Amino acid sequence: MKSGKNNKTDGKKLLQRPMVRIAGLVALAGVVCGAMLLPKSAAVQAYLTQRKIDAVIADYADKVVLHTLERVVAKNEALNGAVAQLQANPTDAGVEEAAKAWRAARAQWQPIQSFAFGPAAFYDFDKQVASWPIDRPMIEHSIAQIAAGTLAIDSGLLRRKINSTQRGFFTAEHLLFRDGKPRKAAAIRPAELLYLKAVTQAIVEESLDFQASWAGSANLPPAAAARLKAAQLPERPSYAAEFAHPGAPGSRYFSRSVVLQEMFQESHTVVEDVCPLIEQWLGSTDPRDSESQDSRNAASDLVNLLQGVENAYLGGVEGNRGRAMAELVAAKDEVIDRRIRIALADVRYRINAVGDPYGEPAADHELKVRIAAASCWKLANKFAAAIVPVCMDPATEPWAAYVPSTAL
Amino acid sequence: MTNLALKRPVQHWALTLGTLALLAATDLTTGGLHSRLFAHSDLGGIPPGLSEEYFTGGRAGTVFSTTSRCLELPAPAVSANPELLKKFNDGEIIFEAMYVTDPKSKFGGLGPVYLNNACRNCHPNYGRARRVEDFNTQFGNGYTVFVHTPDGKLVDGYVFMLQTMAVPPYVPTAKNVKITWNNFVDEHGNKYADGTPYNLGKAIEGTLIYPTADIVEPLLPLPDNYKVSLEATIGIFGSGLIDAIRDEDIIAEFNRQQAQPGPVKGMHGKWVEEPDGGKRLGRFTWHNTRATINNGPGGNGVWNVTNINRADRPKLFASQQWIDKQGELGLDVTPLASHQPVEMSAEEFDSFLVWHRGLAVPAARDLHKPEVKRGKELFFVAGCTSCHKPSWVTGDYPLLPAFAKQKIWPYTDLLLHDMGEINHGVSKTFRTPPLWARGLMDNAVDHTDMFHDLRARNFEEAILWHFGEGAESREMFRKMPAQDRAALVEFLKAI
Amino acid sequence: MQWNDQWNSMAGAVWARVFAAALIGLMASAPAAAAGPQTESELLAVLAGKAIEPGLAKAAAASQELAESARSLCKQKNDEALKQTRLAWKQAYLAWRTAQPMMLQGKEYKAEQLLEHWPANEAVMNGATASKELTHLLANPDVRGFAGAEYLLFAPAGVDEATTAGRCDHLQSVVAEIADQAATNQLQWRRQAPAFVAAGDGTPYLLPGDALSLVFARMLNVAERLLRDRICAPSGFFEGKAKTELLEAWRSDASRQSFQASIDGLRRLLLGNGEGAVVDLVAVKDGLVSKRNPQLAEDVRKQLERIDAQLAALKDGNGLRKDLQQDDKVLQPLYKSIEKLQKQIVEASLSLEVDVRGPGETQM
Repeated sequence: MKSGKNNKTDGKKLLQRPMVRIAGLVALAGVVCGAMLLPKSAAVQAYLTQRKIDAVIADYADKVVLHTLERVVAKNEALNGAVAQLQANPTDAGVEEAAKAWRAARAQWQPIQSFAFGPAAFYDFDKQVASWPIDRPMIEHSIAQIAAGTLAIDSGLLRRKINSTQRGFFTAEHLLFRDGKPRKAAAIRPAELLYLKAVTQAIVEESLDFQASWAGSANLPPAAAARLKAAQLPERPSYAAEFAHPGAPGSRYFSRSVVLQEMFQESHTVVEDVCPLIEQWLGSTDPRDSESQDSRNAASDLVNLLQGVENAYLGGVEGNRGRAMAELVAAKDEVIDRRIRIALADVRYRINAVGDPYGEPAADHELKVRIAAASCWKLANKFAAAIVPVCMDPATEPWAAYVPSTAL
Repeated sequence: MTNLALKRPVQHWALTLGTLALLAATDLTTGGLHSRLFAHSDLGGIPPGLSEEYFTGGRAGTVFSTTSRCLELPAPAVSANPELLKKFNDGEIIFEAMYVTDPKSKFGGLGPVYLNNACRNCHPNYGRARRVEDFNTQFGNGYTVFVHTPDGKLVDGYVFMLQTMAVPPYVPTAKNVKITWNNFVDEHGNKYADGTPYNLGKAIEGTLIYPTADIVEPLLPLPDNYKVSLEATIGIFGSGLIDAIRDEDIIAEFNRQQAQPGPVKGMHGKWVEEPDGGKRLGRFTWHNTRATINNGPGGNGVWNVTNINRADRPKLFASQQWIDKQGELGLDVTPLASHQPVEMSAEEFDSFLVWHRGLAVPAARDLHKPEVKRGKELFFVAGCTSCHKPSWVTGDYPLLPAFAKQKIWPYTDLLLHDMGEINHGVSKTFRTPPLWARGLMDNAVDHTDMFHDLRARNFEEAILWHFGEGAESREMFRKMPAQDRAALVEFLKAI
Repeated sequence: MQWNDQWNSMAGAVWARVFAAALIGLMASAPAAAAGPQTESELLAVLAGKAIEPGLAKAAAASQELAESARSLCKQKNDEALKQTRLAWKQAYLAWRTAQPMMLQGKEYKAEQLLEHWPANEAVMNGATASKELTHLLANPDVRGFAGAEYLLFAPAGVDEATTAGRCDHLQSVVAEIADQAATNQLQWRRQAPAFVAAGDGTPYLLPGDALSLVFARMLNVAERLLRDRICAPSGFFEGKAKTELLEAWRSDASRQSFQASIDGLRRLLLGNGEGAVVDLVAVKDGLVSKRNPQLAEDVRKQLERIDAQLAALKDGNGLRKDLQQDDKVLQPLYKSIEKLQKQIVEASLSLEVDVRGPGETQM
């Protein structure tokens, strides 16, 4: 037994011994882990949930919305470029390139429907860029005027003076495709090419405007900001900034719940809207029963709408995903989350399994369409089941604006 | 259904299917995703103890939502009834549709002369129009234009909604409307009694603006003293509840105002002869010219704006003078003069009406906050309630029985008031517009432009444009300390 | 009975088709019978032929036996008859419990209505069987079904008490209802079986998974009831005071056996009876998102064995009831094990990507 006056020194020596330090660290780790495993108080739980939601919302704005809009602009610029090439050199190969670029741009556009709330709802960007139906007689009238030299068309004129039903993706489609295939260059009049060029230029400008509305004009790359200015489009503040900070002064969102409501309900709506379209579009042998009539792009349109839902749900495009809506769902009910993931994959698989509705119909075509539609409704149901637990979690303060007026 | 008596959280596994009514079954009748349905349901489970003032549309007509979709939701009275909900969804398609001139296309039949090609263009995101500089703005410009003489009579040939669009070869009544925004300085130099400028701290500090308009390339003759006036759209939500207010109750309010001392003497709207032969009291539009939803601004607008014809609206909405002028220009007027083809079925129109009257009013917010409570006090003290009558109880309403006997909070007396010479457009008497859900304009439409021609850019300005019968209240507002003025605005945003 | 023979011959013709289809299906697709189902359709055929049909048939036969025994009892009114009827009751009850997870259309099959309502309402039972004015009360579910029949057969001290006029009338009514329902269940299943096995042809099942979904939903439903109503409730939710009167079938000394029978029913669907079943497909089938999960298959097997062992360690009937009175946590280990099994069944549904509607989901 050591004497008392040596205790301190002995204590110091004790701590210098590696095993003791390791043991100490292990004990400390045990305490920390134990604390993590201890049942948390409601307040702590709410705090952690809120931090998680904040991260999900921030990544949604960044990796789902802004990233998608960047790609939208890029694909639309590629389309515009292909049309410029076609105009300079009208060949069948040129039309095919432009047609391919159209399909790619269209595919990239569809996912925006998952965030069709906020700026897209205020300013109708989808209607600006993809109005349907199109007004063919009026388009033809304008083209005739161009051919006669009585109308000088440019994107500015299209956007400011001419109804959106005479421009946008479906107008471009009509000028590039017939019966599901690219047109022959010889069949496309020069006036049509002029009109088409104005149309694709307008699509670029309007999608830049869309991007600006979320990113904020000041945050766009200088080239994009310059194009917006040249197109005389307004300066936009950043909606993403407001969206990611619910409850902050000046935010339209009084709590996290409202932001989550926007995100979840929009995705749910997209799915709900797609389900009857599966039967309507893919169950018909008449391309005129769908939107993309000239390009026969119906299946792709539907798949890409759902791809948008999947991107939104999983926190971004594959390979660039962040914190996700899926996490919030899984925190409430892991099983529903997994069922949603399965359903998302399943409905895409089932739509693709339908095959070409306009070709030689397979014997089980009708059954396949029904299966695809049923798969879609299953997904819609799952989403619906996930919305309330997530969006109405007390930690998200769903009722913060609705307090009895007698409360202090 | 969770049996709360049992401790174990019950998992249903198809044992019982407790339904949370979240799904609005969509049944699109079109090929267009663009005609799509945003009929999200609200999320139920309303907290207990909320005062009736939160239920702006009554229990049957209020939804608790502040998302960007808050003005497009079906009322509980509708979403509780699957048949009605389906019609609501079908009717929404009509509202959302983009109409085209091609008669063979879906949503075809636009024109041959028209104002705009989609309801939503003038009612952006189901709300009120935005202030614009360019009348050609497609999305969000909700101005209708009156060409009239100073006495308010329309100039011959110019129908009450100036038509600036026509299907070639026809020529519209005017090519365009030129809008000029003018500065206005009131007798106090645009300052409050405490010396601070209006719109303090903003880029628009010290200013008030108002529009004047002129016609560009008019087709028909104009007298020297013609005027061009603008009026803008408001949101459509809550119109069904207003439809359910009894005529006699509005008359009672009119009588009460006539009898009371003071400058406020609202005038009731005209008695409108309805298609069923009866007479109903006007309570819709800026001048109380329409009395019912069935024969109201929406139902007529769907024809007037687009010239999409129905069996009950078989004629072209255009003046005889316009038709004659087309003939003078050497154009074939036979298609204009005869009965027009039916482009919207009675069924579609019926669904549209179900949607129109079934739109919910978003609930009030933040009524518990001290500033809002103070603002409410001031709203009464400043005499705002003389015209902005806070609440009504609806009468029986066979078209949507659940809307009957609802206590609603639109903050309007539904009477016409003289708003002063400075506000004189086609008239200087205007219906007190409803104030409900103004605080959600920003959420739904990204602006706070108000007043009949959107001259008010925010709540403060909206109050400052109250002249005529509203001048006294305006002065009281001007004399309030800044804190009180702010509180009053907070109250307006809360209801 | 004639009506029974007629039903059997009609059903037999249908059944022959189903069996043939199942057999052809099995032979055509399975490389060896021991390999187990490789596809959802094969699984459906196995479940239909090897689990559901035999399960319902056994319940029907045993219920018929019970009805006949009761008839004899009320004619002969002797101890031997009572003994026979009591035995018949037990066999019928356990057969129903085993078949309960296979009654896919739960409500239509009156599975819950006839198997539950423990304890039978003694007061009403005694009063209404003794008094003509109260006989209308004998229509209540809590004096009918197996609980009601058990009370009538096992509560009385001797055969005289058991076979009073009132009691005999009611007993025969109750067991006739059970027998009729069991026969109806079998017939209904035979009508539905061809569509079930042919699921994926759109009439009415669009996918084989849609038919499998019913199986999973039913398994989970039964497991949930077992946990909540049959274990938790009598244990007073492990909060300190057991409600032993809620323990099923203690008079007949069949409580533990009843739990075992339910587990056996689940086992039949999950593991099969030599020819494979659900877990075998889980072990081999890759989905769009989920991969095959042989580990889960193994876990389910082990879990069922664990549950068997726990059950074997329990007393039965009154013995179990007394233990429960002493210690409300007696069934807690069993509860936890069955809950784990339930989670494994959910995992199996995820692995097979079979959609099962959960709480808060509406009907499509």
